[in-house]
Amino acid sequence: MPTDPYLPPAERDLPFDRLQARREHLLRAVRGEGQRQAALKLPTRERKYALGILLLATAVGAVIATPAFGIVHAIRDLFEGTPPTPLVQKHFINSNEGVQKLTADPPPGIKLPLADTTKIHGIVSVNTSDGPLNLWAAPVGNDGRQCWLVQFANDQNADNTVYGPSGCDIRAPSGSAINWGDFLTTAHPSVRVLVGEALGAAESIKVELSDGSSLTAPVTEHLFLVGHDPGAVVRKVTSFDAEGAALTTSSHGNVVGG
Amino acid sequence: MTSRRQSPGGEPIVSESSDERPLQRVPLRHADGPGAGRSDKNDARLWSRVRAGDADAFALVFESEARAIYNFCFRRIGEWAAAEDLMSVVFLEAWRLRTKNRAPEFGRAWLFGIATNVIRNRRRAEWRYRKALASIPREHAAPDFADDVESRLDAEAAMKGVLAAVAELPQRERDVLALCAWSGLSYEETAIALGVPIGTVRSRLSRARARLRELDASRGHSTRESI
Repeated sequence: MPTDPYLPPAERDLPFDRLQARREHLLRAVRGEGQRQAALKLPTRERKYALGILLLATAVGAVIATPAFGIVHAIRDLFEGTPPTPLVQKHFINSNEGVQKLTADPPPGIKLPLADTTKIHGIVSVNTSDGPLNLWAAPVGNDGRQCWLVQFANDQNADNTVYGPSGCDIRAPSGSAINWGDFLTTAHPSVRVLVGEALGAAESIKVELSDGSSLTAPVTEHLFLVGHDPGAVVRKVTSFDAEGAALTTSSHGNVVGG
Repeated sequence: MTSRRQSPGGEPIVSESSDERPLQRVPLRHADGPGAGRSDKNDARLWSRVRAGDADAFALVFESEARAIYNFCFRRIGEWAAAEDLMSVVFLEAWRLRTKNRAPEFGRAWLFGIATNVIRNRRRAEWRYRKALASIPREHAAPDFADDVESRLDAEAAMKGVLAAVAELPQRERDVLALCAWSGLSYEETAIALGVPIGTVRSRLSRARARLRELDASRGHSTRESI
């Protein structure tokens, strides 16, 4: 009986020990990207001010010099596109109202941002020792600007407000700049929040901390979010494109908090 | 932390996020012909986690898809040892490009697309990961292999015969044949893997079958519908 010349032989299993060796090798390579974090030093808060982002509303409190350990930066899946909670929606509406009060005398050359509150959606969520830390955003106009909000999902604030940094683009994004801020809040002294935007073709960022450790995070809709140990501050943020090529490096946070 | 998902056969696959965890034998996917639905919600969640940089999720993907990718690589090159290395390269490349996977619900198809490109640009891919490949421990006398060496050699000879038989097809038709007919991807999955419309997959597969029937006739074989 002739053998069909176009049918491949049956599939085979790789021997179990070799499969395990390949798996372990792969995981070593995957985990070797420097995503581990450590807490070593007391915080030394840095604030860098620059144009580009206008902080609209925030309840960021004073820095608390309490070292804490074991902060986790683990991305929670399937958050992108999540509809807003009523509390989050209320924040964006309140922010818009605040902006509208300013429109009588806007700074020259600046289009005051009004978020489209019908398009608020989740961007990324990370697990921290204080529970999920969520980044929400809504478009502003049609030129790529966004308003964003960082929210600790488990917060139950008596005054029904969101405690976390938030802001809006005041100019349309261009180039491949990185704008970021590294915040510590009174409400959550055990988690330092790095939030920012990486423009251009950025798909991921690498964050280098003052304790010598580094970590990576994805860029989603030009935004990124990291919850890291408060004992270290961000020294440098580098963006990378999908091919892994470095795009931009920024060593000065320029998103204002306070 | 324990993550849990269901295999296509309904058996739970459990994985704990520890580097030291021994690899469990888990039910692996088997090709079951074009049109078979493979994309389920659990897969989409898993691939979303991979896209976000979750190494534990990637370990689960490896456990689920390693066999299929290993056999796919073998069926494209006809050498088991080289297929083993290429399987590693495919997964390393998939991790490198994970953020480009825009459709997590078709993560498996995307992985086969990566595999297709790796094989197409084999030298470049192996060069990129030469250091990583060099660090993989090699076994010189693995008992599993020794017991099975004859059938492995037979399979290699048979596969090289198949590859020689289809060598007259254009590359793009061989790609469709390997994905759709040999690896059991659906037309839609094959289209995603190759980045072409579904209609193109259908027409390429149809042309490939027609050419093979012509080759059959010229070689004196009867016409087959098994491809």
